[in-house]
Amino acid sequence: MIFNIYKVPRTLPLILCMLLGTYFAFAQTTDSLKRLALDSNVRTYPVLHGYRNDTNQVAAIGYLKGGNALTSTPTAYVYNALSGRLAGLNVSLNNGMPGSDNATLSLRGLAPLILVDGVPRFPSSINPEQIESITLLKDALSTAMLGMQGANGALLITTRSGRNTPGYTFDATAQTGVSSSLQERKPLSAFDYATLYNEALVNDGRVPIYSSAALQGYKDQNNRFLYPNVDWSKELFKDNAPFSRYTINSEGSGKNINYFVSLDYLNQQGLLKENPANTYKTNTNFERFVFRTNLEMDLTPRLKGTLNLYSNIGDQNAPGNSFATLYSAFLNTPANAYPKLNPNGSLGGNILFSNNMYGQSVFTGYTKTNTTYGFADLGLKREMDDVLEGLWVKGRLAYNFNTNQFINRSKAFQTFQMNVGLANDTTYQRYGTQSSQVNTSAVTDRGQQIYMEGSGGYTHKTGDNTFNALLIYTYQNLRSTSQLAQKYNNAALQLSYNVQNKYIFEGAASYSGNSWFKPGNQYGFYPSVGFSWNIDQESFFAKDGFLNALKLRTTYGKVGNADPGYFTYRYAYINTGSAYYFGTGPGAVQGLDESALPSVRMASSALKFDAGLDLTFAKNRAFFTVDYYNHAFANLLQIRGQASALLGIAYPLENLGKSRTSGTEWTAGWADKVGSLGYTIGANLSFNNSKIIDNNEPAQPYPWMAKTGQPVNQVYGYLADGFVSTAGQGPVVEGYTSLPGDIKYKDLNGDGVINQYDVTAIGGQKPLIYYGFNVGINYKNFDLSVLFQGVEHNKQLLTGLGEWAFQNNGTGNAFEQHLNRWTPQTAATATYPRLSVGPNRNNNTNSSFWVNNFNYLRLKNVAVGYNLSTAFLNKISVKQIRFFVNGFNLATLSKTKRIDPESLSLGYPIQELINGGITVKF
Amino acid sequence: MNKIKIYLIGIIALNLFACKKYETLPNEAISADIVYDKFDKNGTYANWVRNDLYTYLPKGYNRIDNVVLDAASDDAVASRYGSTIELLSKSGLTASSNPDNSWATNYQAIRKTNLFISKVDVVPYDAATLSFWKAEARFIRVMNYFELIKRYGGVPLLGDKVYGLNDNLTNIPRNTFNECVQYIVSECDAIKTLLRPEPVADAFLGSVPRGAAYALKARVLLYAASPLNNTSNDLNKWQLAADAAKDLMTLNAGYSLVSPYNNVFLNRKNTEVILAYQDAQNGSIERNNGPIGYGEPNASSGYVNPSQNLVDAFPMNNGRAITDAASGYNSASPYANRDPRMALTVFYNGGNWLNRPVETFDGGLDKPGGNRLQTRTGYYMRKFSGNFETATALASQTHNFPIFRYAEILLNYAEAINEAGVGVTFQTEAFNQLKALRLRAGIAIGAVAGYQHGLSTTLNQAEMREAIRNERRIEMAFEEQRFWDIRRWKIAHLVGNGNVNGVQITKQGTGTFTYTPIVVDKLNFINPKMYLYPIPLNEILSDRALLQNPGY
Repeated sequence: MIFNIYKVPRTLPLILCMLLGTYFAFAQTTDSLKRLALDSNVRTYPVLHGYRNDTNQVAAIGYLKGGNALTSTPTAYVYNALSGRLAGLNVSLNNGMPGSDNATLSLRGLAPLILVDGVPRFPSSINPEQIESITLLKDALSTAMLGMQGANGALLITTRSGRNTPGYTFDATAQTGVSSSLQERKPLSAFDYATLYNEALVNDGRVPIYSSAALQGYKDQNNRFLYPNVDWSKELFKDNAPFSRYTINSEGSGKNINYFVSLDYLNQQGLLKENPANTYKTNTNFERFVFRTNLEMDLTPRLKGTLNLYSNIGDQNAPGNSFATLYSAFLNTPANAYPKLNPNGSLGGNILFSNNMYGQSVFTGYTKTNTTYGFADLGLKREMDDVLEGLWVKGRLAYNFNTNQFINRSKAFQTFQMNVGLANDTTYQRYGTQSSQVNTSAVTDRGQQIYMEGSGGYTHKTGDNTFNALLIYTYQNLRSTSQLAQKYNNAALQLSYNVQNKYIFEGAASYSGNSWFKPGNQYGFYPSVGFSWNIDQESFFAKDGFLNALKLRTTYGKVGNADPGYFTYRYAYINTGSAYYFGTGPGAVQGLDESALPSVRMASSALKFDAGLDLTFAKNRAFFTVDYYNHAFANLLQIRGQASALLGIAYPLENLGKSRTSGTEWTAGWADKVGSLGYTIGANLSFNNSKIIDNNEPAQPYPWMAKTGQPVNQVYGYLADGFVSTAGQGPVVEGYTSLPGDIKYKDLNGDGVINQYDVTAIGGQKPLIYYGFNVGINYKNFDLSVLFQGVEHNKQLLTGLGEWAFQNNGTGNAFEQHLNRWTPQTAATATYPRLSVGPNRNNNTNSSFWVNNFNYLRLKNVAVGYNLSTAFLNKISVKQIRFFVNGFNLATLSKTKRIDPESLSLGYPIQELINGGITVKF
Repeated sequence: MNKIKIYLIGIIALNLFACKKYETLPNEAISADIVYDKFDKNGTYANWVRNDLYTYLPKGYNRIDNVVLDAASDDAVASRYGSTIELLSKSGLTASSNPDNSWATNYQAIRKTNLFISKVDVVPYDAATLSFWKAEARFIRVMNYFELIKRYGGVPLLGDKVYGLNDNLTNIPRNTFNECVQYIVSECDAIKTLLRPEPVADAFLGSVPRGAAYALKARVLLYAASPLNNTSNDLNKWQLAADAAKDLMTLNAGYSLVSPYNNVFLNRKNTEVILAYQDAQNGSIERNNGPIGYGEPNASSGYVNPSQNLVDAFPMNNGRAITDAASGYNSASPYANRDPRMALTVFYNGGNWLNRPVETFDGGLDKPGGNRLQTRTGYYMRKFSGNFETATALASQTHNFPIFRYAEILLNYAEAINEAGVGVTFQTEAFNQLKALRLRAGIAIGAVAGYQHGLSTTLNQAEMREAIRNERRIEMAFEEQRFWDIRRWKIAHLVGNGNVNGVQITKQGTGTFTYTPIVVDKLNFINPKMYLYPIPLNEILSDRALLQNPGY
């Protein structure tokens, strides 16, 4: 495979520095390693409503300890730091706008539920320093107690408590860096654009519109007002933008109290150029404050209280016209559309492009989006060993809210088209009207969540055997906008029995309901069981042989997913507003109509099987873990297959679908020390298959049209089959008269035309593969970590804007890839069909021609650190002084040169960041 | 001490869990009981439902990719190359792509009318009004059946049943075209005395009047008698169609032709409109269709470009066709002395609009070249626009899309009676209708012997047929008639494989113009497949008893 390396010029020096740095090397363990072999202790980690360790764990989970792995990724959203770290979790980033650059998480193909300290919360940005650990709950047993919210799996974030820090510490970190865009689509120059446009017109049998004088004008650039060739990317965007973050943390534990306090300020600026004349910012800047206080208090020897407070205030600035509008204009506007400024200094424009992009960027005022999040948790736990040895009870109350306020300080501007008359007189035609700034604000979103929990547990040991029981009741009340609250009620019981640490039996079940379902359908029962066998605990197992630890585990159970819709079982009429006009006046009369047919939904369910093997070998230096999973989903919501329009109203969603996802997840690692050089290597690899088992599909006229049996996210279209070589040749779409260079398609049913009977799966059947690997080195006071992340079999259908030339009624843009269009000379090598202006119904349609494999391997994260020597620090009574440099999205290997293969974005390009700073700890 | 603390905490906890009872179902929803309320003396909600039914009346204008349906005939093209209207004009229709697929919408209307009819009797509203409402709903129901059969041929007739999720809709076959026609006719006969009688009071203008039931019957019988659906040319079918049209003409309901001609489209209250889709008062028609050279506040898009073929179909203002040597037509001044309807149908070079002459010559304001959407034919569509010839700015304007107007009834009658038989009476009856239309259009009877309003008084049946067809084309251009007419006449495979022509106009130094004919587009009509639309793929797959039309 030939890979094209892009982004090298900017990142090469950094990589070289880092490679040199490895000569001195570094100390940080890569925390994604499942077992840190150098650390022979058995790990303990949080799971849902409790803790497990490597020995008594039965369920399939992923674990990532907080610390450098998270803090070394310089972005506002901690999800970005999870990319490539955990098997089963696919993290992709497709928006680079400061404040919106949050990654999308996919756990075994589905978006996991986010839990912070055991409570489902609004997705929000948490600064990485707050995080003690992240646990990925992948199978049925680990999420069994979530009942109707467990089917997608969950990501459990546990915040720091200060429990393990004797005395106190106080640390402050200041860091600053620069961000710059990854690969973006490159529009053609004015000359290339006009040349290709003429070619397209000729192809369509039309008259070229650019004269040879105009083409020469674009080339020579002697009159850039008459023949503009604007590189908008330079006019609108800076090459890089600053990023900075300041964090203060303190934690500690005393006689009756553990605490953690964190304060974080982040300032990330956007890439837009600004106008110094403005008294305000028009750039896409983002500022954020995050605050957390976690307290644990021993109120009495047996009664412990916890109080966690969190708040997050974000402030996102943007040009008045919104960045999305501006960027869409950027992709849509050819270089020759209009000059940035006219000779008289006014903004250029014309009737087709009356919104000068420079104007949109700096003369439209600004908007601000303020977001506020708050979490408050109060918990009390009492050990009841005065009543019964091993018994405890606990109560928790949590309140979360978020608000989103949009402040509009935008205004309109005007553009002018310069016209030169016959007498060389210059006139200006105005488009648009200037206006003064508006000042409005609106709360666009408000949500609140009340969570209550009551639980009790009991632990009983007999000899080497341990019995554990946990009974828990949770209640959630979710409100947003004006809707009635959605309530989850959930009672769960978890039992486990551990026989001499050899055999561990665990079972959990929940009875779980959602108030938006119809009474009678609100509740479901979700049981799970699991078993694990620690073979290394058996007497026949020689622990000091090649194998040091060996564990088999398996789980099976049912979890649910509630998607009730807003009281969809109710039959109601809906006001359709101004419906019709009677009489002679201008007033309309009101209309009323059935809104939808009622449908009684229930929660969909997933039957999940998981089997895993964990082993440690080579003197505890290496570990290996593999999981196989098979998740069968049933009662998925869909519209029935035979949905005849004779009914006269849309069919509602019904619980009809069945699908299956299956796959394997592999994790391996190695850690060792050579002299004072410590190093770790870790890797993870995930395969994810999905298949539609039953989608209630009506009998299709041809087998290739069937969707049953295809992957869930399959794309469908025609199969491209080369280019037409002589006019009129086929097969092409029905009724279309082909020209040389048009795309030919496979006529699957052999009827001579291409139509709906030739539509088939075009995305392939191969499993999605995602992986990551990392290397960590520490040597004396230096440390280095490197993380690579990649995706394979990433087939995507890309159509429309950014892909097709001269869309938007022929006024649209064209890009560098269109230079390689079909012409009689390039017939053998062309990667784009013959050019045409406007929509071409044969070529501009969903087909395998537009499906690409966006596989990539990315250097996601590099971090280098240096700690000053302790001898020196002791003299000045400082615990730690650390200098560090880190980077994000530093280099990419991909066959796709023209766009970033991770984001494929039509929005704010995703960013590469290089960042450095200092931490001082007292 | 400890126990007290525990009790206190327990009391606090109990308080937390002892929630009050809140609203458990969304009370803002309007349930069916509220809509059809046996205590609702004012029938407010029921009236609103009835209002909503009216939105299911057919409405033309720029409804397919911003252009009119007739841009898929030889009357016009879209200014946008590759517009989806070309699926219709160039045989691109498939069971999964049809820009004029109305199947689901029509069956929605049928469901909603059935539901309304079945429920509304509960409401204790004025009995006479309830009776009108139900008859209106029945009219809207068969109107939608007509919209179905002209597109798809025979379709399933569902009767009065309101289907639910548990009803089996997977095995309902198509009724024949004739069964559908009979159903529509029988419903029209049944409701023609139940609908609101003319004259309709101003406040109720827009409600379906009795005349509409007559008009629908006349049109559906005309379609049934036409060559597409009457392959054996059963003359009795033509006679039935003629009788149905005549019934309305002799109803004495006050219908007549209005003058000037385009008042029909601009005033809601006029004697010619039998039923119109009453649209909002705004400038959307003018802005969609006006020539493109006007800046704000009059900026217009000129989406529809009428063809030279249509322009040539307009006679001179003496009534003679331009191909007639006696017409006085001058190809160097092609727009002078033409049928006044032409200037109300198309914008042509030199015609006035918004206080300046329209410039569709090369490089003119309204055809500037470059990559803006602009006229391909040298014309823009004028029809339906308000009278802004000398105004400086567009203003809000009433737009009335004619579903049935009296002129159509006259043309229907003329066509049917001409076909029903050969003989002096038949052709004279037909001729009289053309005379009435031309008189109203502003074409004088003239003093040339053997000619009246430019038409020969001795036309035989075939010549009369051509004259009627031409009159229909120009009188009702862009009213969604021509597209269907060429199909029911079975000439679409001839017309629809021809060229759409335009004119290239060059301004000379002297300020005069030269006119060069150009071919703008080539139509493509696959015969006989394209005579009917394909039933949507999803319907064929869902309802196994539905048979697809041939060729799809």
